[in-house]
Amino acid sequence: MKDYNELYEAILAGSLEKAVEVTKQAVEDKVDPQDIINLYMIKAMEEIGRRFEAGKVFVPNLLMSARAMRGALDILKPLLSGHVDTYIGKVVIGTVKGDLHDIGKNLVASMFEGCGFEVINLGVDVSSEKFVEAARANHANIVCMSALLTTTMNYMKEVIAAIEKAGIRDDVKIMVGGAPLNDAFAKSIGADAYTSNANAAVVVAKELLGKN
Amino acid sequence: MIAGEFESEIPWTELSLDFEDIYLSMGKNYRPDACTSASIDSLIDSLKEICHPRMYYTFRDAKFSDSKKNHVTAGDTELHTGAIITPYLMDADQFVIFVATAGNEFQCYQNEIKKSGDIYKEFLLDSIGTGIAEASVRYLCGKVEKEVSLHNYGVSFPYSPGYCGWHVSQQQLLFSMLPPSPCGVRLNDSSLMYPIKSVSGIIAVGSRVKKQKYGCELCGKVDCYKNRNKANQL
Repeated sequence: MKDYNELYEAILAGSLEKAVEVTKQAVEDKVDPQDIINLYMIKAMEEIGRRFEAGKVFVPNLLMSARAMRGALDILKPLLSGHVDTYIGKVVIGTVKGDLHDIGKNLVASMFEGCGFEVINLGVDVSSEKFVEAARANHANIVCMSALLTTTMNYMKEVIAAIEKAGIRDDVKIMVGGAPLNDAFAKSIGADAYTSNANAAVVVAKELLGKN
Repeated sequence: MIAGEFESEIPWTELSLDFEDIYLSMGKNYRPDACTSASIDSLIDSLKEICHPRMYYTFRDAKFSDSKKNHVTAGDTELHTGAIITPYLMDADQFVIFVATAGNEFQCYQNEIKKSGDIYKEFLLDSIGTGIAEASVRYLCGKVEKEVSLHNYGVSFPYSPGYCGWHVSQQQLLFSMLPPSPCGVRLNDSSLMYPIKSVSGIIAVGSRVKKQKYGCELCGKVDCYKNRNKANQL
């Protein structure tokens, strides 16, 4: 197979135009879309994540890479139907009821998508019923909740209770994040994990699903 | 005593954006590369035409009770401002209750960008919005300072619910002193303002009031985004 390392470099550099150009070329060359994703795109996102964790790049760099990744993925998505191993897992993500902050949550969603997860982004002000409904309908592996206020973070406990009541708690891992949260809070409400940034969310999600 | 209330749009040309406010949410010691810098400049250019920041403030008499530690009373409204902020308010003759906002137009633009799915642009715009809200507060503070100096009053720095140990739920009490939707800003049951890029708060004014050190050195709360960014986390 021809080397499409330019795609890896384009995503790492956050170059949307280049990423799209190389992906189109790869499609024309009849390269398996799953190979393009696994061999170049996800690897680039993992590398930018590592650089972020090491303090070598910043949030805007992560986002530029995520944007380039999404641009390339949009070309490949129509070609992926029928692939059983397309995604690492399914993530339902949302900002809890009463809270309208979503930039951090969207960043996490982008990183998940960029690193091979299917993401169902429920947006902001999401009720426990919506979380349960989406998790059930999509057979989600992970439910991610975000809150930026001390007045809204306690709603996460209600969502977890609703997930338990719906009988799907054993089917999903629950991750939480947001400025006022911490590990102790996550444990106290019965979540499986708290992470403080988008890259850590992906790393921990893979661990929870045994995909590392 | 100073009375009255004041509401106005803040002319974009008088808004002094501080790029440090914009970069703060991007990470410790962040400095944009040429590409990001150009994107920020381009967004700010487009906002010049769109954005209408606004401010509102009103005066209330200041009262204090020895039996109510960490509380201040503005007019008839008792606020639990907490152990960190209250000492900085104690010399007040009056309080200024205020709200400043990047405005509904900014919020609409932000919603549009969000819909476009460009997460990078969305993030930059969010950071710029923070910068606009902070600059609006600075403009308001300057105006208040000028006005009260005519009465030989000094001013404190502004303090806001949700920061430095003043619980965010106190927004409800603060907004009870304001007219409905001041500058178009609404408060929900969770004490979140909408447009999101809005700041409300209190300023102490009086003959013995002066600005004292302010910022993260005052607080050190680990769950505040300003402190977390100092620790180089997202």
